[in-house]
Amino acid sequence: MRIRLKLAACVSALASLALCTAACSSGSPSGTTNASKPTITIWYGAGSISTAALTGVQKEFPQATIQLLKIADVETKLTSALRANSGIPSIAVGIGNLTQLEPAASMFVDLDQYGFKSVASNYLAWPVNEMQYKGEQLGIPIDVEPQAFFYRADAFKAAGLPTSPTAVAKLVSTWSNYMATAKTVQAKTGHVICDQSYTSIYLPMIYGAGYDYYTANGVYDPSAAVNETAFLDSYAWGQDKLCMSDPSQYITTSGWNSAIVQGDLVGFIGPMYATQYLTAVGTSSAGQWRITTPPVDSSQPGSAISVFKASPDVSLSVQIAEWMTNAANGAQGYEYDALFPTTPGSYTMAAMNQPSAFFGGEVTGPVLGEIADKSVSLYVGPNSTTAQSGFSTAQVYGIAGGTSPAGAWADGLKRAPQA
Amino acid sequence: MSTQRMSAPALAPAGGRRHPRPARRQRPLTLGAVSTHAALIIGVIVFAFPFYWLIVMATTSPSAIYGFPPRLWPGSQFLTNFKVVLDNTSFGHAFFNSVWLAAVIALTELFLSSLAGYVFAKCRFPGRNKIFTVLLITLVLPTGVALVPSYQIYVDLHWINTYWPLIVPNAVTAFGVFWMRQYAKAAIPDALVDAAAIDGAGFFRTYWSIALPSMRPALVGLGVFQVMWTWNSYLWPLLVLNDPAKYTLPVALQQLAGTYGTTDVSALMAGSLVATLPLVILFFLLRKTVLNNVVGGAVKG
Repeated sequence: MRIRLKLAACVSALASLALCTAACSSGSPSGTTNASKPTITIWYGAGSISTAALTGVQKEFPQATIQLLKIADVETKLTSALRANSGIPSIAVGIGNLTQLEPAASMFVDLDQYGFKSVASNYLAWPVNEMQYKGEQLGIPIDVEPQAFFYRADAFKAAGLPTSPTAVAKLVSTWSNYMATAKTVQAKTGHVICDQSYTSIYLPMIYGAGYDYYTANGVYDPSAAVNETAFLDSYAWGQDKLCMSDPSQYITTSGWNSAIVQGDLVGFIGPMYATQYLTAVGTSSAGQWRITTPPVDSSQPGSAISVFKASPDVSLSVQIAEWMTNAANGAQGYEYDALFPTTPGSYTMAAMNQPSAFFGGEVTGPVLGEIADKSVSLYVGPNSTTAQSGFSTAQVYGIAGGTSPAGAWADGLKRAPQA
Repeated sequence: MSTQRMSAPALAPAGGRRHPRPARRQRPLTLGAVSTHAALIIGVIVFAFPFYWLIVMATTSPSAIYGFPPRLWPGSQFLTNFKVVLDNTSFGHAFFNSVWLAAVIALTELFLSSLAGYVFAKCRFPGRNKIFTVLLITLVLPTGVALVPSYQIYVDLHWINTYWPLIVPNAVTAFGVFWMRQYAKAAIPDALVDAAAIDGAGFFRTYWSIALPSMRPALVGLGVFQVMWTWNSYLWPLLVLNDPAKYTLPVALQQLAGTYGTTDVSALMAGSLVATLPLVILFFLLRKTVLNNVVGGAVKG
């Protein structure tokens, strides 16, 4: 018995030792330099950048060892790494909200110091401007989300309306025209061309006015007139039941997907990424969907690529970031990864001018390109996300509960961070 | 249990006579029994439906899921969906990592928690109750509070991107010690510990040969819970592991989510289904011990 006990203890000790060795040996620094090549570590999220950029980066930069790490949640991990000042990658791809990371701005490379200014004109000006903080360029915009009017040609035909993108663009050229069209479609077919008053009307209205709860000078102003007008106008859509019956449903929710599959939702204003959801669930209506310009040109901010001072070769890392977001990779990203590029040079490339079978043979790239090009810059501040959440909740709850427009607006002001 | 069942015929009296099997008494069908069973059946349906729906979603396409009327029967696209998982995540690595991590953490936790629980239950030493109270206080601290300081500690130890931050904090937990202490207090008679001491057994011998076998049901229960917690843990492994080859299953499955929340729901469900199966199998293998232990714990606690 005593021998068995000792044997068990020995086995346990050996197992622990083996475990120690295994666990300890697996640690690795985020970026290292050996005598010949620096190791550039790139964190990226699924679908955050063109696949062509990921597969081609090592070949393009043979002077470095590129370590590509597919991270499940780039922003969460990056926040922890920056807070601890450890394990920071050389480059992070797919940062959705750069303002959340501004407290750690000193760890970001100011790209302008490494020659980004000379290539900045290759990108749309407004997303480049949105990635500046205190005069420093903290990121390069990878993609933007132009908000287009998606509609089903068969539903418009059934409603006795024109179906071509050019003609429909005229039908919805102003907010009042859009509302009149929505009423016609609903009366003739029983279906709606607005998913949610908040995402389909309110957000395009405020983004189109260059407002994201801050003035152009960076002053937080949730009670701005533009916000109140957009809130009350969009609220009317919900009250008049011109959008989906459940006001909490929007792209990404199961109710939205069901409405697409069941043919209840035959149009909406939404960002380009809606295409991914549409093509996934709207197989039965493939070929019927079209894209055209909405009442106002606006885009939702996309994601960024940033370089960090922890990189073993900052200059090379900046070159890599610029190459990964260049026009050729951007066009490939549009064709294969449903990412709308920030490089106008991409818009005329063949990859962005292919007819889409899902959209009835329409060439959608130029339509979205026009919207992205005409979109205006937003000042996105630290309160933008929370304020948006507050007004969204107020509108959804207000419509569902039958609150008066003034009451819902007051509720939104209460829910948003105080100025 | 199975050994007893198999050996039962050998205990039958010679000559082939067996004890007559007692006649099963038919209980009268009462309104109470019917309503109880009806309530239980509804309960089973309510609790089992999400798992069934997981199977339906994992075996169909996204458009079939959202159709009306909704599809209620499993489809035939599981392999197609699961291929998407294999193509887009390091699923095999992650599965292996989750298995060995769950096993190592559970074994370490069982050993150390049972040892500490036994000490708190059966050994008298100054400050025992006060130390135990302090230990219990740590149970009520929210996990989020310790997240950033813990991360900083493991950064300073250079343990980021290793498995140590997953193993060490779970090697012994306050809940495990509490669980084992409660069971040890009720299941191990003081007289047995004293008798072992009189027979010359030292502390570790008494723990190993007397206490540990007596705590077997509690060990199984805690083991199942610990495996489940490790298996499902997401945020902490996400923060401390960088290399996709080291990811555990929940983190690997998150790789299916795109930047704008775009996810192939059917593929995600196929991955989740495979990831859930080991837990379901484990529970079915050990369900009697776990359920007995949970009920026993309720009575003894």
